[in-house]
Amino acid sequence: MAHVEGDGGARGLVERTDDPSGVPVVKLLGAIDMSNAESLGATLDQLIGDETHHLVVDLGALEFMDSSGIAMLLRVAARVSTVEIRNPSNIVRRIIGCTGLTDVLPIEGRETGEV
Amino acid sequence: MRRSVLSRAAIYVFAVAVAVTLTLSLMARALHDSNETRLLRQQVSAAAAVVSAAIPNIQTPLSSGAVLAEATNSDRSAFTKLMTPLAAGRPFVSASIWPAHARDPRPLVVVGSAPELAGRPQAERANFLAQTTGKKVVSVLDLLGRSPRRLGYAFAAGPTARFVVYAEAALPENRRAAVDSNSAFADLDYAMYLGSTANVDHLLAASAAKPQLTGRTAEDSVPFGDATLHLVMTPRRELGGDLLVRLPWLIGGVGTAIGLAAALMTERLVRRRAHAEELAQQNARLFSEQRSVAQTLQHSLLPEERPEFPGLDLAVRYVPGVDGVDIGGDWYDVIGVGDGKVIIVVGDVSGRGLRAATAMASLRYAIRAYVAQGDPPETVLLKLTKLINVVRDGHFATVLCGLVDVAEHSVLFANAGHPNPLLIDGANAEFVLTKVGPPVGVEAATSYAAVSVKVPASGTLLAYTDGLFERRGESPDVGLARLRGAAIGYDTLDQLLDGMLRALTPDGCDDDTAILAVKWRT
Repeated sequence: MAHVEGDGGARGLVERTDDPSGVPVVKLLGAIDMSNAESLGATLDQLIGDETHHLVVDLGALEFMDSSGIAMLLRVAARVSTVEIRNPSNIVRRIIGCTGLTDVLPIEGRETGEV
Repeated sequence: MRRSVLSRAAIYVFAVAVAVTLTLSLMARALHDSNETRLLRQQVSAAAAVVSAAIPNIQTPLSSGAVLAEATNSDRSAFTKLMTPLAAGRPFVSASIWPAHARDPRPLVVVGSAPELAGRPQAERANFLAQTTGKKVVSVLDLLGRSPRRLGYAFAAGPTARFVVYAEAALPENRRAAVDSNSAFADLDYAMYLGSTANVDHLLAASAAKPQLTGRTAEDSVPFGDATLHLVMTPRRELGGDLLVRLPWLIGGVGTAIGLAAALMTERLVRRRAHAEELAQQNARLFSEQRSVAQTLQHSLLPEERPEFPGLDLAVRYVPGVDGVDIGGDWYDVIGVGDGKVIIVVGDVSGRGLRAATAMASLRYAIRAYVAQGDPPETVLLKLTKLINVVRDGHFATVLCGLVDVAEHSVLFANAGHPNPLLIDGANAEFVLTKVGPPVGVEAATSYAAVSVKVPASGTLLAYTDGLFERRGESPDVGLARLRGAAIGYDTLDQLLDGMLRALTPDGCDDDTAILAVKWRT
C-alpha cells in the first residue's frame, strides 16, 4: 500500500490485492488528478513489476479521476498486455465509453467494443 | 515597507511589561514598608513595656525607706542598714532623708555619695521636696543638664509625711548604653528621653553616638514616676528579613527580563509576519505574471479570433481555466482546403502545462500539414496517433476533425475520443452521433471511421472541449444534457457562444475550454 500526496492536497492511494486465482489486482482509492497522477503511476508500476501480463484495476473506491488519471491508466494498459477495469463508477464507465476507450480499458465481464 | 529598529508592537509590549513590573515593585516596596513599620512599632511597644517594668525597682526601695523614716523618725542606723546595699552604685549612687516641709531643706541622713540635690538652689530644693508628699508615685528630678549627670528620685509616705526619701542614680557615661547583642532589641538603635518629646537636652541614654535617629523611626511614651519617658527606635537592619527588602528589586529585575523577552518575541513575530506578507505579495505578483504569460502563450498558439470563409459564419472562443496559471491543452482550428471546403478541428490534450501545450501545438500544425496533403479527417487522425504516445509523453489527446462541404451542406466527421458535436436547429439541439475511436496517443495501430452529417440551412454546428460541460463528481451525461439545454434560443453565433459560457460556467471554467461554432450563411 502506498500513499501519494499531491501538491493540490488531492490524495490518491494504490493498493495491491490479488485475486484468489492469482490474477494481480490493484485498487485505486481517493482522488486522482494532475497533482498526483504521475507519482501514483510510478507506484503502480512498482507494485505490478515487469512480469505482469494480466492486470485487474479496481476502481470501486475511487472518488474522482480526471484526464491525468485516464492517461495514467492508459500508460499501464500499454505496458501490460491485458488490463481489465473492475467496479467502475457510472461516471468512469461513461467517460471510458465517451472517449472511445472501451477497447483499451475494457470493463471486466463485458464484451469488448460494447459502449 | 516600514523598517524600524523595533516594531511598535514590541515597544508597546515592553512598555506594558515595565509598567506592570514597576507597579508590582512599588507594591512590594509598600508592603515591605508597612511590614517594617508594623514590626518596629511592636518592638518599641515591647521596649517601652520593659522600661515601665523597671519603675518598681526604683519605687519599691524608696517607699520602704520612706515608711522606715516616718516610723523611726529618720533614724540614721536603720536607714543606713536598709539603703547601703542599694546606694553602692546600682540602682543608686546616693540615698538620703530630707525634711518634707523645710524652708531650706538639708539632708538629715545620707548613705553613699553626697546628693546633687544639696547643691541646688534653696527654692528648687524646697519646692521639689514639698510636692512629693502629695504623690503616690516617685517624683523624678531632672539633673541632666548638669554634670555629673544624675537623675533624682524622691518619695514620701503619704500626704502627711514629715520626711522625703531621696535617691540619685548615675546615668551612663556619654549617655551611651549599647543594647546586648542577644537581647530582643539587638536589631534596633534607641534613644530614651526624659519628658514626652525627643529633646536632646533631656536624653537619658542612646545606643548610638548620634542620638538623633533618622530614617524609619517609631516612638512611644511611658509614664515614669511623675514624669514621662520618651522612647525613639530605629531598625539597625531589616526587621522582616532580607527577602522583603530585595523583593522589589527582585520583581523589578525579573519583570524587566520577562518584558524584554516578550518584546523580543513580539518583535520576532511581527518580523515573521511582515516577511510572510512580503512573500504573499511576491507570490501574488509571480502568479499574475505567470498567468498572463500563460494566457499570452496560449492565445499565440491559437489561430486568429475570427476566421473567415465564404459562405460560412464562424465563431470561436478560448477560455482559460479559473486558476489560469498553467497553459492548457485545448485548441480549435479552422483550415481552408479550397474547392469550397473547410476543415474544422477541436481538440484537447490531457493534462496541462508547457508539455501539454507543446503537444497541442505539434498536433495542430501536424493537422494543417496533413490537411494540406489532402488527407480526409479519418486519415488525419490515424496519422496523429504516430505523433503522440501516452506511454512516452504522458499525454493523449481527443480530437474532433470535420471536413465541411459548404455547397453540399454537409460535414464529414472523424472522432478520436472527443465529445460529440451538437447540431442546433431552431428549438432543437441534438448530438451528432459520430463513430468515436480511441483518443490519439493511446494505441499506435487503430483506425477511425468518418461519419457524414447533413446540416440544415438554418442549422448550427457546435464543437467544444469537455471544460464546457464537465463537473467533478458528475456523469458526463448530466453535463451534456445541461449543455444541450443551454444551446437553444440565440440569434447570432457570438450570442450563442457568450450565452452558453455564461450559462454553463457562471463562475468561470474549472478547466480550460475551447468552443467552435459554424453556421451556413443565408
